Amino acid sequence: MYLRSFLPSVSHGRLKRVAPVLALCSLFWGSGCRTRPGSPELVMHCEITPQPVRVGPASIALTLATQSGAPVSGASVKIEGDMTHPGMGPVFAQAEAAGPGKYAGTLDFTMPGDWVVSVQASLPGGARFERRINVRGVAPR
Amino acid sequence: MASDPGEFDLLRVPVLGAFLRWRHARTISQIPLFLVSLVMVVHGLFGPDLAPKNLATTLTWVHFRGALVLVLLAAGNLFCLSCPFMFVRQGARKLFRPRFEWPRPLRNKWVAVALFAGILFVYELFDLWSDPWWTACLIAGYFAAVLLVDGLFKHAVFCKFVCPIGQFNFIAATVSPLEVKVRQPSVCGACKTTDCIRGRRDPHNGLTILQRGCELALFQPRKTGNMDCTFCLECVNACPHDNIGILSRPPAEELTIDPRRSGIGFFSRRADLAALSIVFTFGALLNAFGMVSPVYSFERWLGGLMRTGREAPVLAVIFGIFLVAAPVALLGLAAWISRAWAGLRAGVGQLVIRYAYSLVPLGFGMWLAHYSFHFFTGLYTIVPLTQNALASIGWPILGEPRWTMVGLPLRYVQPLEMGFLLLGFAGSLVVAHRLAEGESPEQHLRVFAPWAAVCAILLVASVWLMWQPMDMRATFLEFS
Repeated sequence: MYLRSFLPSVSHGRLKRVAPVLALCSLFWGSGCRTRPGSPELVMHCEITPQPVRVGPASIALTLATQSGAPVSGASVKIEGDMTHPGMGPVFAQAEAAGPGKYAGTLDFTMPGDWVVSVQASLPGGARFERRINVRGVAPR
Repeated sequence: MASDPGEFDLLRVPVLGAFLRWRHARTISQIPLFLVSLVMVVHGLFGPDLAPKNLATTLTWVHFRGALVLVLLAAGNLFCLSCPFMFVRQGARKLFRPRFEWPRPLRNKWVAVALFAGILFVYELFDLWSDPWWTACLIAGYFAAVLLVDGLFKHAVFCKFVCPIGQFNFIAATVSPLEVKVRQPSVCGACKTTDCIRGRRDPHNGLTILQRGCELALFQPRKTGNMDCTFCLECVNACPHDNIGILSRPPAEELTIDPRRSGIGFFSRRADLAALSIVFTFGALLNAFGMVSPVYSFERWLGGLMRTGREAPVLAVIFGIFLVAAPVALLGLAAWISRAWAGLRAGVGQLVIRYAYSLVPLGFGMWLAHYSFHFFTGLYTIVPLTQNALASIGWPILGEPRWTMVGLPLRYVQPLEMGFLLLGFAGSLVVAHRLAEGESPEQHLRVFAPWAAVCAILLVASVWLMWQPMDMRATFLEFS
């Protein structure tokens, strides 16, 4: 799950199939790891345990750093988990500071299947940062 | 035969009956669905790309499908009455008139059956349920297809011969409790105008239609059942004797008889309708199969066997197994056994066609169980989604999204699912038994037993499927 933040939020297989259409619609619609317009360019690492992820509580460890590698501390970090299927409620967690540039929270995966974890950080100074991580195939408990 | 005076007639219900008899009732009921469709397309194209946050995916795959099957169960084909696609088509026909007749070789359900299976395939292949953009494209494409087909061809060609949703509704409505039908057949016997099918034209200008008759070629006095009936109620408005109602009837009874039906012919001679019943029934299991944990192991195993990491060929094989191989094996064997055991004259193919209709209640039970699961467990998600959509356009009149609103707990929904499956199973047994009695009054148990076994096998498969842990993935071949 490490370095998941660099993966786009659509699977590679699907991306190949729909590449032409996505290329066209990317003119007005973004689908990858989303960063809010104007948000700072940060590097986020994410580690989810246990692996493989199963239904139930999972620990989310996040590391936020600048492009130069300096840790970003003092952020307020919210985590949201959504299934890829409609009609399912989201789950939320607040990540707490766990060291310089490190944040940790617990997210409760309530059903098996594909999930998308969204990380929203309010940075010191008011800037906001948002990133998505695909968590594929959460297994039954 | 006069209608039973105790028969329920929806058109006699105060207020609702008067509304439905009003000639603009259909248009009025189409407008809200048309507006909702527009919102879904716009939100699907430009709204959040997460399916649970988007109105296109949530309304289409959770609320619409669930409401559709529940209304079919409780009443009849009222979705076709309110069809937003027909709203656009009616508007377009004010601007241009179709010129062509639908080609005679295509005047059957084969194209629609292929499209029905095709949509199920595309749904799995492109994970439509998880993709607002593609869902919006599907809705927009549907509008375009309606305009193209009905813009070129006369009458209600799209509804009768093309529309996959319509075919789903037609076959499911055979187990609905309401039917548009004649109140007093004797009145029709004396009728000289047959406006119910011909409609009425301006006597001074024959090109001007004052009132349409049935565009699906269903002549009310000889109409039997709900097949091909869109509940458009043109016949109700056209009948000068106010002799057509929306009457109650025993659900699925129309599957047990085989009269010559207006606009359809004999069910027993319609291989295309039997194929529709088969795709409807086995497609219900297939559609649910795509959402449970064991499917991924099976798909990975099959992908390994086929030495491919591509999803399309693996899915094609699975579809072939579910929609062709399994029906051929199960129904063929049942037909062969009942023929040999009861000494029937009819051939195996004829028996398969005849008894394929007996599977419809069970298939409908499975669709009900599956779609009502999503509907009820995600029932309230429409509230935070609407709040979120309004807030995102700077109009938060409904407040901040209450994401905790989701739906009914599983402990309430699962018994309901089981009830739907058992209801469908009972319905299929009754239909098969009635057909067997008609086939061979002396040996009807020998005819019935193999078909009852088929129903039992499908029930066990359905119950097994519904009790598997739901596992909504789109990525089964990611390992490759």
